Amino acid sequence: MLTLDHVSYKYKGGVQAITDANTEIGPGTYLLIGSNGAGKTTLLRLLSTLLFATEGEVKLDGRDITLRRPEDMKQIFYMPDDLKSPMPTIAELEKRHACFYPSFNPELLRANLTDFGLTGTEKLDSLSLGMRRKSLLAYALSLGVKYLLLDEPANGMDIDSKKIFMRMINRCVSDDSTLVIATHNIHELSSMFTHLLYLDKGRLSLSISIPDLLERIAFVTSPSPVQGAAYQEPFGGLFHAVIANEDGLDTEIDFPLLFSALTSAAGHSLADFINRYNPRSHEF
Amino acid sequence: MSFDFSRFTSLWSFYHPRMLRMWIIAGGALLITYLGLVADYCYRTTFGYPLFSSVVSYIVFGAPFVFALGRERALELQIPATAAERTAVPVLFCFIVAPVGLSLLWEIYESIGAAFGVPSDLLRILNKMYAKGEPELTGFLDSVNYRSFTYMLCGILGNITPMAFGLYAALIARRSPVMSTIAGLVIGMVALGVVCMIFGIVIAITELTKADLISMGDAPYEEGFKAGLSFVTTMIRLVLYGMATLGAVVFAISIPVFYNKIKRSQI
Repeated sequence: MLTLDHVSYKYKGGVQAITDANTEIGPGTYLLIGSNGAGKTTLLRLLSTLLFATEGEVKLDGRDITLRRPEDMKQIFYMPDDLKSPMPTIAELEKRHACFYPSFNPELLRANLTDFGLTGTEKLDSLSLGMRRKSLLAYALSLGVKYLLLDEPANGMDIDSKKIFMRMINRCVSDDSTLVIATHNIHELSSMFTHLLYLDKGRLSLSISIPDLLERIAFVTSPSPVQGAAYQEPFGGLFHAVIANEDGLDTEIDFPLLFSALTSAAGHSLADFINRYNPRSHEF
Repeated sequence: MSFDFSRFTSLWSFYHPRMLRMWIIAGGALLITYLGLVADYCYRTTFGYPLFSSVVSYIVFGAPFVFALGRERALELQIPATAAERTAVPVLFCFIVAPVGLSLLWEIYESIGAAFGVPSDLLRILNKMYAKGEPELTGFLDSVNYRSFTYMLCGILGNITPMAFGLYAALIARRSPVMSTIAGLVIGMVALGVVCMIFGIVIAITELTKADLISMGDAPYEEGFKAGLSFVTTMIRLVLYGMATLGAVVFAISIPVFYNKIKRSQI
């Protein structure tokens, strides 16, 4: 379990990137969302020891992660959106880097690369940015680590590639592992997520499982404006709304709508409602 | 956390492509340099000597660039290895493997050249030709055994100070690692120069007093030349020993400094 215990991070220039984040991140697929500059990348870097918290602690199974014990680091891999390979090919990267990860699966790497139409022997410098990212993504997913953190993995991918990416995740990520994805490509990837992390200007406003979230709020569509909606927006002649789920409606999550709701003027109230509302007692 | 040699070997292998690139470039540069010096010798000129002798002296400073060029910090910081293992690789490579390896490579070139009739002390011969206007200096060069273990060790240790500054800059730089490494090397060389200057002044005053060169003003030329040569030889030898001692001290200090820096490195 990755634990954030009152974690804050302030950059040297004085920018407070993360403020008092508290949560536990266990098995599941987490969607990390937030506006630009909300602190998503900073949070992922804190979880992967690329940054050390200026306050609080990040722990892995109760151990201080900043000690970077090899046995802990073997369980975590963070792939930033601008990762470059120090080796000329994925094959070379596999030869010289995968040996640090005992859970690395070479067959999985071959399968991932094949799905993306790659062999692993291509010179990465000669590939387009999108193909290079796919190569590195195929590699990252084959490492078999328990905690895989991906920053905007689907950026620049066409629709087919996103579908391939989702299939790849289903193949590579086991039930007891944790995948955290920071992305704006919410719509195409929405079906895979089991948990939501929402950062609002450096504050971790929401850390909740999707089933728990859907016990608290519902997503409805109506031909006319929805009375008492926490948030709604017109689209295609209909009103798409987020409402308090007081009636126990069984709805499906609409991530783009949720994101719009959370980042709207009513966002704070909505997040506060989700955190405080008890769906069983219907009380706060 | 114990030191794992298997992980250390894996780390060394991780950096191997960049080390190999350095060996190829440095080896090629040294080969071109050697051939240039041979050409100078054959034509009895010192036209290329200043440049080529500089290459021989400074080629070893390419070692820290192995850890600056072509790196991906996000990937490297996450590698499951202890701080000790991460420190051992750059320290061993820059302070021991690269200097010894490049010295051996030069010896190999000279040995191959000797098989074709090129003098094995080519550098000394060209050095003397270059310094022909300064009889004390050529006299010193005749009295120094370049190929002695002591002289070669002094050479390797003397380079450690700028190397330590350059490697430190390469390891800590978050942006522009190459420029930072260059800056570190320059600062290291300046620092070494300042220390040598201070050391040299102190030695010079001490030796001048001992040799009583000032009161030899009216002595015959040969006597004055011998005394001057003795003074210069002693001074240069002591400054070399001073540089080597400083290098050894810097080496000892830099290991814990590098270790602590690497342990707390962030992106």
